[in-house]
Parts: sequence; C-alpha cells; structure tokens
Amino acid sequence: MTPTTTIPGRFVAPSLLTATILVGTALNTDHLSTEINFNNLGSPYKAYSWENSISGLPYNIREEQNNEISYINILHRVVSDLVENSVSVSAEISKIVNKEFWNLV
Amino acid sequence: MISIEDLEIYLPKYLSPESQEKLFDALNDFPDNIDARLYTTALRGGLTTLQGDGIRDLPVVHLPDPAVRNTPVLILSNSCDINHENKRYLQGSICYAPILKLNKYRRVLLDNAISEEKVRDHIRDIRIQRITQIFFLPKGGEVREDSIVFFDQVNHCVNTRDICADLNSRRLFTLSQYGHYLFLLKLSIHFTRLTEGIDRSSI
Repeated sequence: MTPTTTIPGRFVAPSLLTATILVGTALNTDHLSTEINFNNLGSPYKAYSWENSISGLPYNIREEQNNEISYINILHRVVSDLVENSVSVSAEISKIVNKEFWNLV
Repeated sequence: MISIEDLEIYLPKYLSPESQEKLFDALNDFPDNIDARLYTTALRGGLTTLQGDGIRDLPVVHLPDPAVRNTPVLILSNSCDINHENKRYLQGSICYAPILKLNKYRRVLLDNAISEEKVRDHIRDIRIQRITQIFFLPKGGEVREDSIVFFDQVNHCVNTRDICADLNSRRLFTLSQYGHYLFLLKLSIHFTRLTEGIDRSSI
C-alpha cells in the first residue's frame, strides 16, 4: 500500500490502534510517553490510506484516549516517585517511637 | 500487547470527566501540593464514615502495653467495608491508626539524642511523603497542626451501627479526591509492594 499523506504533530494519533501502539511503546520506558516525536524517526511520517479512513472516527473518542494515556502517565510518575525515593524509618527511630508512643499521641 | 481498555480499569471511572481531570491535575502537581488540598469540606456533615477520615477519640492500644487510651485516628478500612448500608453475614471491624502530632514527634526524637541534622532530614522526608510507613497530614482545613500516621500502628474496633453513627459526629476531616488517592497509593505501597527479595519456592 502506498503512503499518501504527510501528517504532522500528535493529533495524528486518532485510532485505538495508534493509541495502543503509543501505550505499548511507552510501557517500555521509565515514564509513559503520551506522544511520539515523528521528527525523530529519520524520515517524514507517511499515513496509509486505511489510516485516513479510521481517522474519521469521532474526535471525542480520540480525545478520551489521549486523556487516559496522560492519566496513566501521571499515575506512573507519582507511584515511581513514591517507590524510587522511598525511605524507611531507621531502627533507632523505631525504638524511640515504641518507647515514647504515649507521649506522641 | 496491553490495550487502552486493559489500562482503563486502573482509572477511577466512577468520577465525572471534570472530577477526573481535577484529580489528575492535582496528582500531576505532586509533591508540590502537599497542603490543605489533601482535604475536602464538600462532604461535611455526611452520614457515612469514609476511608481516610480523621476521627476524634477512638480507643487505641500499643501492645504489649495493656493501656487503652482515646486518641484521634485515621480510618484505614475501605469505605464500603464499614458502611452499614452494605448487608453482610459478618459485620467486620473498623481498622484505624492513631494520628500523632509532628511537632511532638520531632521533640521526642531530639530529646532522645537524635541529632538536629538527622531529625531535620527525617522531617523533610516525612513532609514530602517519602517515608513508606508514614502518611503525612499537613496543617490545613480542620487539621490544626502538621500530623503523621504510622501505617504499622493499626488498631481495630467492632463496627456496630451505634459506633458507626457516633463516628460521624466525631469526624475531624475528610480527605479530598487527591488526598484519598495519595493515601491509597502510600497504603498500597506500604502493605503490598513486592520487594521482599525472597524466593519462597512453590511448596
């Protein structure tokens, strides 16, 4: 099938298929990406004719999927921040907490 | 490959699109918004006790010390599990942990010969929610001063209809959508993270 159109920018990610690819790609990274920078692919991105037809899907579906990818990205970042930067209470402090418990409430 | 539909189950679908957007805007600002935005007054006067509610004067023990004292607590139980509208064969208990004053905690550490520098760093980590077993409750709304909750100081009380009704009159605060989400993330990480590093074998 012959590429037909050069498509700029992130709003070419309309279909479920494309959105799935975006998430699938993003899951291999530390931080979920919400977009692919087509400028980094080495050559202009070409759309196939079938992509033109599915890009006719209602826009609100595309927007909802973009939001969900963005939300998952945010959750991933917050959880990563909490897990990767987590610190435990030292044994020294734990002992004090147990000994002084009623002085803390 | 994971599809969008697979991932959707991890998002709070019970929220309106507007509420969902506000929640994720707030989460996106974490950790620069650990303040009064953790609380809501929108549910003030509500008749249901919710997970993450602050409640005045519930009995607390610190075993093996047999003493029992009433202290302010944070509800750990899931809201649905303690709601009497949900009919069950066995009415469970309400799980909670005492709310401690951060300033008293700081003072006690200093009095027990922990260095100024160590205490300062430790309190800084608490304030940005980095300590896995501590949930930081910043001053704001109905919370008069910075406070903390240790997830490993769980207590429980039977959940009779009378006790439950009484809890509503003793509510100190309710966590906002963002506050509750952050609380759940920390609670989950504390109790369920898969980082024990032990091969338990299959038998």
